[in-house]
Amino acid sequence: MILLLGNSDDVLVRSVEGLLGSRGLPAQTVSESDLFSKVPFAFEQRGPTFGGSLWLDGHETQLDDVSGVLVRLPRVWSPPPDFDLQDQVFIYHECGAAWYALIAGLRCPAVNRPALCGWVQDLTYPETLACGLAKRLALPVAAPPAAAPGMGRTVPTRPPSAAHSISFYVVDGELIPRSADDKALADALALSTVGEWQQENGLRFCRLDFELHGRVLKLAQVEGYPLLEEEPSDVVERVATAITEVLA
Amino acid sequence: MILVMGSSADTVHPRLTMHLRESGHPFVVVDEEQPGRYSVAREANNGHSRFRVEGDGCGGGRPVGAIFVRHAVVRKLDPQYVQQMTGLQTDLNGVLSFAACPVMNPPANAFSNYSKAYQVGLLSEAGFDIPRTLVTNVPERARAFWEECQGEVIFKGVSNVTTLAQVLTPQLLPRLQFLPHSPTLFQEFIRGADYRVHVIGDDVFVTRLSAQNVDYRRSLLAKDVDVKVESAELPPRLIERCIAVTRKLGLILSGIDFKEDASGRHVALELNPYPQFTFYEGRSGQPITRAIVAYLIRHQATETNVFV
Repeated sequence: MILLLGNSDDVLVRSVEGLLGSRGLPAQTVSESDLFSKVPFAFEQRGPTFGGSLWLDGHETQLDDVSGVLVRLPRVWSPPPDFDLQDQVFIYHECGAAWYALIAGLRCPAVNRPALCGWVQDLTYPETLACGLAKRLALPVAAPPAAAPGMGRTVPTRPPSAAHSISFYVVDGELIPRSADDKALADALALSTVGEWQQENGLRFCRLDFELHGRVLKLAQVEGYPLLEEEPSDVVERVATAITEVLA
Repeated sequence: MILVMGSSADTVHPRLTMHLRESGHPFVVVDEEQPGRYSVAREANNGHSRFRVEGDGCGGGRPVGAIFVRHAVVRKLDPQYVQQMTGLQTDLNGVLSFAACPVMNPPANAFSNYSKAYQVGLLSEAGFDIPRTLVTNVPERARAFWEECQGEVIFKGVSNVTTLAQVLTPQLLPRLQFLPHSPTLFQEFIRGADYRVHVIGDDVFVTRLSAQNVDYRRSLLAKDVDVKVESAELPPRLIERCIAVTRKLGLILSGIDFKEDASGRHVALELNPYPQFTFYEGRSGQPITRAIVAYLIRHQATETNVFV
């Protein structure tokens, strides 16, 4: 069974769900709100052995029977306001910590297996990712965008729209350009390097944003939670197909 | 130059600065309790970043060879103060993530105890014996675990929000009905002495604690209950593992908690990346702060990108 952890208004979740359905592969979509507040689960760490169950629509599923997981959790859920603020904060972190451990313990392919830095909204995480990849590709990094004062979390983004910006989606080392114009640049990038970097970081799906000034190419951002809502349907289809291949 | 980031209201900060002062080595402090006094500037330097911290003793021009950080926690809910402190810590975390000198400890490497359930898996992977651990929001599963463990079970929070471990007694079982609101971590209860192992690079201090309560921190809250704290030893292989796991997580300093049962089995409970070592030092007399200061002085980088 393939788990799709994400909301039904997420175009990628819908597309992957449709592709899995068309292949007759059993999948279950669970919204972020349901995941954190309604899904019963139990998992145990006993020495090196990890295992457990979760209950979806009343049916028990062993964690060993989960064959793939798509993680598209925007982390905007908060506990119900019937609890006082202190309890809400406590429950928020308890649910987050428990589900992190559960997802991390799954041995099946995960897109993406969350990094702790990302899960806890470490604001330096996106830049750390960009610097790591830029070093591997021997490219300079564009100046990081200034954080908004008081901004407490990283926010998923759409591709930048500036004229000098070029973005690709990458799924397991496969570069998916957003337009035919970008394909030449995609072909010039060291695919194997990107794929290795993805494996090391557990980031099997991401978007790479570059800036091209004259002949100077700079890596601007690695987006680990790309939003595809405004992308042409063929781009969404290609991304979803590649992800489905990983999960299936 | 050593840079110390943290809170003057914390017990660690004054003790560390006292030892640095005694060492005669130059150091400077960023007191996060006064967030409005500091600013952090970032400059591009040949494709790399250079950071300058200014304000209250920091002029932005002296090179920093090593950094100690133990961030302040918010102690008052004044929105302006909270925003200033959060803003300063965000800027400082940028420095710590990209500093070219040793950082004890980089916050980005210190998240593993956000999820105790996840961390216990890491400890198992690192070769430690760990207690049977269940995380669930299902009352029946918790009850079954309690029965399998013959009623010898403790429970505590899953996340790093502070909770003290409690024994799951028969009287507390009806409270399992509240589990669907919030998952909880249940563990096989290991009766016996507590050990805290502080790792500082390759140096290790082992402290043994004996208390009547399940969680010795609970005993410390009761004024009339004493906790015996003393220097101790543990098997060399266990110590080697403590050093190795600290290094593997990208940390220099850690505080690892163990229980020793009657058979001599040592069970790892958790690893704290920002241990409050002053308590153990104060009770046992072990020179932990001195070792931290020595490490910072000895491992200073000759080239740096942080200036104060």
